[in-house]
Amino acid sequence: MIPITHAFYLASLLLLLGLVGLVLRRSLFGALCAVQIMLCAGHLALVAAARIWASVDGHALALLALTAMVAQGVLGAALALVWLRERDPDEPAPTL
Amino acid sequence: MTASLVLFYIAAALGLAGAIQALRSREPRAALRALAVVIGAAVAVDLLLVAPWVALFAAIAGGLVIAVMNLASGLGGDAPAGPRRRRATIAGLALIAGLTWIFLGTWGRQLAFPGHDLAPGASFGSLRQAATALAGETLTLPLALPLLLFAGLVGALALLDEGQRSRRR
Repeated sequence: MIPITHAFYLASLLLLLGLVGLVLRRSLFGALCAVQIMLCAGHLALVAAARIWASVDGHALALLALTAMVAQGVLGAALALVWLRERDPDEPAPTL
Repeated sequence: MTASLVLFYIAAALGLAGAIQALRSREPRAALRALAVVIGAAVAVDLLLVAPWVALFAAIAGGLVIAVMNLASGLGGDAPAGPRRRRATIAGLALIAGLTWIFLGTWGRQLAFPGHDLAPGASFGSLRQAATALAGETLTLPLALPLLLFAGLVGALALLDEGQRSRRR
């Protein structure tokens, strides 16, 4: 059995790291990775909260957060592909 | 120190190292490998917190996201190393150092609550329980509906954009 406090520490640290990455990284790919890390941290916090109160509502919310993670990843990658396809060929290569 | 606590510390260390590597890496494929480590660590922590179905879904969702992002990463060039990358690394390490300091400084006073006891033989974390909670009206209406509306809005915008383009042609 692990203390739930430790899981919250891990989730908050991952969330902060993702936030730092989102603010400091300029590339589209870096921002996508940062948001994925933040959503991962969010679902960890929800699972830890579910264990604290021994209630599976947190698990259901975590499943929704993971669905949002997939939607964000797919939409972000699709937007990146469209942007790369439609950019001017004379333009310098983007930092994906 | 129990075996599950040791496993948790290993997963946490791997997850944090993976997150820093994913954020500081300038090569998309290396960043994706690091992101896979973060998702793997999250799956391990899910299992330790008695959420096997969430762990399974996280593994599938993570694999899907990494596969899709891998497609996009093949088309891009490397981001040049610059002061921002160094700043991201320094800020990440400073955050970890700060939280470690808090963690060690409050060691004896921490509320290390392991959660409410589960009843013997309780099926906490089962798929049936999660599905029942997900289907309950308190969760579905306020949460799933906006997500569906958002997806519909994005689809409508994409269709509108495509229609305008075909009219221009």
